[in-house]
Amino acid sequence: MRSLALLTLFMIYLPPVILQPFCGILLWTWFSIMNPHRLVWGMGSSLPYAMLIALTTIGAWLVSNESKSPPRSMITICLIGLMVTASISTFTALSPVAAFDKWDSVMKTLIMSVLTLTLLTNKIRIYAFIWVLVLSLGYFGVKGGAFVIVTAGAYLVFGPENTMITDNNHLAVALIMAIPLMYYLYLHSKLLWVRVGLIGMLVLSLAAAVMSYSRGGLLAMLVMGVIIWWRSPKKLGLTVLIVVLTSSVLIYAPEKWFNRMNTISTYEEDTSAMGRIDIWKAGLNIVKERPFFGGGFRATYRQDIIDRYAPGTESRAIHNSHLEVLIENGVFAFIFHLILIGATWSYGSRIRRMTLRRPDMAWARDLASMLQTSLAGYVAGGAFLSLGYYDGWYDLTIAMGALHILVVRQLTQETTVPSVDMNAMAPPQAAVYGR
Amino acid sequence: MESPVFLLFCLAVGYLMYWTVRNEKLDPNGGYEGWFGIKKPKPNNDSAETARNNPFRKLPNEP
Repeated sequence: MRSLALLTLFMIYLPPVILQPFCGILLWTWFSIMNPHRLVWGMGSSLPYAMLIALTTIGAWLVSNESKSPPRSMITICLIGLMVTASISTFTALSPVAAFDKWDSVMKTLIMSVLTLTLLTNKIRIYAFIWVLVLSLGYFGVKGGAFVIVTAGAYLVFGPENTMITDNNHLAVALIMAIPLMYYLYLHSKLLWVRVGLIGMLVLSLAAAVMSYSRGGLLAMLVMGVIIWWRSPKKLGLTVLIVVLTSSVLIYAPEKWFNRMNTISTYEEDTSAMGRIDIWKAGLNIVKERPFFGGGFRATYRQDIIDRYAPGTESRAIHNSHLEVLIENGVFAFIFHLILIGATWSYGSRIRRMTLRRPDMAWARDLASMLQTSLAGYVAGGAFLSLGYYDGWYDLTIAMGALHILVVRQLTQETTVPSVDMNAMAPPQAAVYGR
Repeated sequence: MESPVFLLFCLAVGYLMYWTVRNEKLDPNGGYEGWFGIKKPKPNNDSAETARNNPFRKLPNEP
C-alpha cells in the first residue's frame, strides 16, 4: 500500500520538475535525507528514484533561464575541491574496487550539492529547502519519539535500512542537526497549527535523539545547548527549560541508558570506544604512508589493509567524520573539509553581524544562528561517527552559502539603488521646492 | 499508524513544491502564505540607522 502510494506520488511530483528545476532539488533532498524508497517494500523500493530525479533536474536546469554557473563562494570551491581529491584518491586507493561504490554515491551527493547552491537564489527557495530538510528528518523524529514514549525508552531507535542514518548513533546526530532548524521554522512560521506541529516534532525528535543511546549524540546535544544558552537573550527561562528537560531524562530514562552514558568517563574499559581509538591509530598509519590522497574510501573496512598498517587491529568504520575524510582521501580533502566547516561558521557570523540592527532581516539572522548551531552539533557529534560525507551536513553548508550570497546581494543593492533614485529625483525636486 | 504518518510527510513535500512554485510566481520574498507562510518581517523604523549599519555603505566622499 505504501509502495503504491509512493509510486503514485512520485509520478505526480516528477513532471513539474521539467518546468521548475528547483522542485527537482526539493525532491532530491527529500529522497537523499528521508529515503522514502527505503521505507517501502516491493515494486516501489526498486525504482532508480535518485537517477530519475537527478537527470530530470539537470536536464530542466540546462534548458531553463536559471544561472548556469555556480556562485562564487568558498563553499563552491570546497565542494569542487572535495570532488577532485575524492576522485584521485579513489583511482589511487588501496582497494579501488571497494572504494568505487562509495565514490559513486559521494560524487552524486557533491554534484547535486553544487547544483542546489546554484539554484538557491531567493528567500522562498532557501525557506523551502529548510522545510524539506526538517520534514525529511522530522519523520524519523516523530516516529522515533513516539516509539520511545510508548516503550519507555527500552529499545534503540534506528533509521531506514541501507542509508547513512541506519545506525542509531547516526540517526541521533542527524536529528540533533535538524532540531535548531525546526526551532527556526517555529519562530518564523505564521500559522499557529504549523507552529504547534513544529514544537511537537521538535520535542519528539529530542526524545528520539536522547533515547538513541548515542554517546556522540549526547555530547553533540551538550555542545549545541551551550551555544544556544550563550546566545539566548532569555538565559533564565532557558536555564529553567534545560533543568526541566534534564530532570525528565533523569527520571524516565531506563537504567541501561545510564549504564551506556557512564561509559563516556570510563572509555578505557569500553571495547567499543577503545576499538575506535585503535582504528584511528591504524588509519593515521595509512595517512603517514599515503599523505596526499589517503587509503581510499572504505580502506579501514578491509582486514587485509588494516593488517598491513596496524597488525592486531580489527577492521571497522573509522567513527570520526573528520578523520574519515583525512584517512580515506588524504590531506588535501581534509583541508577542504576543514575550510568548509570554517567557511560555513564564518559566513554565519558575518550574516549575524550584517543583520544585527535589521528587524526586516531577522529571518536571515535567525537562520544563520540556527545553521551555526546545527553545524556545531555535526562537528561535535561527527567526531564519534562516520558521517564525513553525509548529505545533511552538505545541506547545512549549502543553505549557509546561499544565505550569505543573498544577504550580501541585498545589502549591496540597498547602497546603490537609493542613491541612483535620489540622483534621478534631484533636479525636479529642486525645481519644485527651490523656487 | 506508521503508514498514515508516512503518507502525511510525503504529501507535505508535494505541498511544499506547490507552495514554492506559487510563491515564485507571486513574490519570491513570500507573497503567498499558504500552510508554510512566513511571518511578515518587522519594518525598519529608523532608515538612517539602517543605512549607517549597512557594511556596504559608501561614505559621502567615496566615488
